[in-house]
Amino acid sequence: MRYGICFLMAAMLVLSSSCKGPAQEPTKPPEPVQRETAVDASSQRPAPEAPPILVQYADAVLSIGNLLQAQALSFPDIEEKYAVARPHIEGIDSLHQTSYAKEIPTALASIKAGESAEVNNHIVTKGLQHVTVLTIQGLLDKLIAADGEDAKKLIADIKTAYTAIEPTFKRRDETVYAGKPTLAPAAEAALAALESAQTKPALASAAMEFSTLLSKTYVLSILFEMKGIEEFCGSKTPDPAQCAVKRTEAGMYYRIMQPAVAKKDKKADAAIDKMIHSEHAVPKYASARDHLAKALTFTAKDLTF
Amino acid sequence: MTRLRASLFLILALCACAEPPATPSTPELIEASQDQLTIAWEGQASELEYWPLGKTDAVSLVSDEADTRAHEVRMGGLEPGSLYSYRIRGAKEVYNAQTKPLASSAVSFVLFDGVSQNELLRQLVSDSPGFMMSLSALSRTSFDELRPFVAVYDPGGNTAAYLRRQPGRGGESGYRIDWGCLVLAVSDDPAYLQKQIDSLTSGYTLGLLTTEESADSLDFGPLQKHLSASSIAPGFVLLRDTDKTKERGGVRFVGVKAPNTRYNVLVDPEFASLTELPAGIQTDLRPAPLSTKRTCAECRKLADKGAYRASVAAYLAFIESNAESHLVDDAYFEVANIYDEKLFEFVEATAWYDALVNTYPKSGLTPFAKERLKYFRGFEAAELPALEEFEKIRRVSFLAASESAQDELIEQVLRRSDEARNSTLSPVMLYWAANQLRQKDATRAVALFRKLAAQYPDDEQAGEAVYAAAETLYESREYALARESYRFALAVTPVRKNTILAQIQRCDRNLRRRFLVWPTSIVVLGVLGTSSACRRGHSRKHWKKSAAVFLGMSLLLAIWAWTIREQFPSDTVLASLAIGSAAIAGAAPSIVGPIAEAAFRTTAMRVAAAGLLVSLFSLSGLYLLIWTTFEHYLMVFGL
Repeated sequence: MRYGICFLMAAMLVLSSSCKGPAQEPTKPPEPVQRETAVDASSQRPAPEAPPILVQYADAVLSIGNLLQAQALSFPDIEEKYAVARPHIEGIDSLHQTSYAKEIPTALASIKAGESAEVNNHIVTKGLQHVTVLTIQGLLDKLIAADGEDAKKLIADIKTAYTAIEPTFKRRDETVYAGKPTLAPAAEAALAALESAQTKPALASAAMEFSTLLSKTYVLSILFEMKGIEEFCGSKTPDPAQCAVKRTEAGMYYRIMQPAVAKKDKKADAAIDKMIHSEHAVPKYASARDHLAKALTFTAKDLTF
Repeated sequence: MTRLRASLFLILALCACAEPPATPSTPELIEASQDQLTIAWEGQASELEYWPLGKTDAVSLVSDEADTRAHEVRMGGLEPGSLYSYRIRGAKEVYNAQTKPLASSAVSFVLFDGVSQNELLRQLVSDSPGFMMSLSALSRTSFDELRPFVAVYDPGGNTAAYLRRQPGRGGESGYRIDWGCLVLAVSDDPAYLQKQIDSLTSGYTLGLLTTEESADSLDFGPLQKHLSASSIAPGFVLLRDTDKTKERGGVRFVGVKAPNTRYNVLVDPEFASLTELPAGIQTDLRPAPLSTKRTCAECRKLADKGAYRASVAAYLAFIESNAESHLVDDAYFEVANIYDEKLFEFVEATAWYDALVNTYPKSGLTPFAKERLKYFRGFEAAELPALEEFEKIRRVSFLAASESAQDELIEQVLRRSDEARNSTLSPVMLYWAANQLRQKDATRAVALFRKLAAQYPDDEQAGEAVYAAAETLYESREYALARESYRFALAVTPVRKNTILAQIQRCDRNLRRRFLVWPTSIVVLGVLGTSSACRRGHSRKHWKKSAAVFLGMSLLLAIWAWTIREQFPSDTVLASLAIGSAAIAGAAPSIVGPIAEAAFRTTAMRVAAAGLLVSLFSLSGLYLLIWTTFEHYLMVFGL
């Protein structure tokens, strides 16, 4: 019996450490996006002040991301988590004229049926990210006009929503900044600045900084996937399956940034849209980078990797 | 009374002698150029720290040498069109400001009248406009929270308090703001505005903010010489005293008089629009070539219906009847695209792409046409029919085919590749076929990749093929063979060095894991065998205890694992690991106990031996359990 107790403790210890480290290691070099929503346990903790619907939504988004990267997908679990996230998604759809409450279940059904699973996986995960970004942008917008307790609540909400997209910040740190924590710590700092802001200008300054980091992360994501399109669609012997996946990823990321780009530079919007969606238009990373930099107040140097 | 007067005098004297407040005033953005931002403030601190937004590790310092309380400093060495953060040294508040964008850049600014500072701050955060313009005169203190971030103008000019104190302000009858591709002239004086029209430089868009009466007297003729290739007038007029909109001489006059309103104005070299916020009602200030392009709706409809030849005919008719239109380049591209993508007639497609590149070299579609031409020109003209057939299979037939039909198509492509062995197309087809076989028949795919590398060593795909062969072997879990292939690939494609080295390490790790299965199996089987051979032990009492431990631990581990179920790839893995671990823990003491009892006489020796054996048995059992269930968890052991 005593050996059993010792073993129980050892097993607990071993399994605990497995939860802190990478839960799943792919058999080949990991696809960037498959791990995009994987998070460590700490980032799943919601801010205590946040309203339950947003906490539940952020938790559900993280869980769906993790469940979708499992080798054997558990659809009852995914559907259960989606049911939790759905009310918030429907709310965002009605505010922003998006249609994720239809697109995401359709994509999930396609994955279940084994149809273009990888492409549809990206539609789900990036669609959820877009919903989260729209949520954060809405909260930032309200924050500037808010005071006192209302402002505190909004900041807590922003922090909660950020947990759902934090893996993308970390992932870009890995892929763009060679593993050097850059975007994620900067986002944390901007959130801390939001919390400590005492005056309206200080609040606006921190909100601008966070909003810019959000844009930068997604612009880098678009460019990262465009390099993938160049590789898989542009070579002499393209790989149509991977090309389609990369175009989907870039397209979904671009949906997140498209309104901001179109608002600032219609020509850049048209050019990037064509690069991503036209079958024969293989994007030139440098050209896309320059368009995005000009449209969104970045320098080409900021977006070069 | 005298005492009261004396007290008052004392208080006033103390106030006069008191030190000025240490906290600096809210700073103001005075001027922005492409590489400098000028900031002014009042206070004792005369130094300013600044850094590119988000990069707090790149802080620069600038100070005002003048011995005054009013300071003006220039943050230098900046990049155009970028956001920078700054802070007066010693103060807590950080502000952001934007440098002037390049002349070719699209820009946006905000027009407002009678709205709150909060609304404008919201706009600042969401849109980062270049500057803000009030339609009516502003007081000295209004909108002071905006001024650290953007320059705020009114009809009289920049409203910064620091500038209002400068002598000579208001001497001109108007002023202009040069921001990116926009030149915005603000004045009610027709002479001043006419001067701006006459002196406009090509490539810029002129915006005039004035009154209806002044605008009506202007001559827009000189603007015609700056007409862009797409026939768009390079100017627009914003009328601040009316809400009417009209057009004259190809120039739009848009009335912006509306109380409590803000507008976002977007200007790029070919387009300008004004959006009323928050309603989002958009008015074009210049007709937009991009939004009006592709107007041959009928041609597009035909293509969408699948009537490709009819669509081409419609486009040809459109080109003929709209030869001078700025939409023709779009039609050229569409015709080429239909031949290329839908009809797979590459000779025709090449001719149309060529025509587009030669006739409209500045078209936005020309780079895409060049890409396709480059692709087609990689093949001999005689190869184009075979390329058409191959592309049709690759992009249409294969995707629509059943699995057996797909196999037949792969064979067909391989036959064509063999027939055209000396052509440029042959390795392309071979690579494609091998790629499709990776999942279906790894051995054959590897053979084809190797065949490609051997037959076409100079082809740019040879290195890729060697790497793909190694990848295929890895995916089929042939780790030893994959490792050799990766080593070979390392010599052929050194550009992938890091990826290949990582894959070699993975092969080594997987082989190590496989190797460890043998000693751990021997331990588990050895212990089980020895235990069965022991005459003593294995009493029912022992097994009851084991069963109790097993059940209790299964339950505990399963509940605990369920709380972190996202960490498991599936419920089956979760259950297998929980039950398996519990089984090992429950059975180990009962299995090992009899061996220790049989081997040693003293209790101390028995306990030591049993402890050692339990550890060995449990670790081996756990290894085998994880290896068979989900081997990636072996990373926990550093394996």
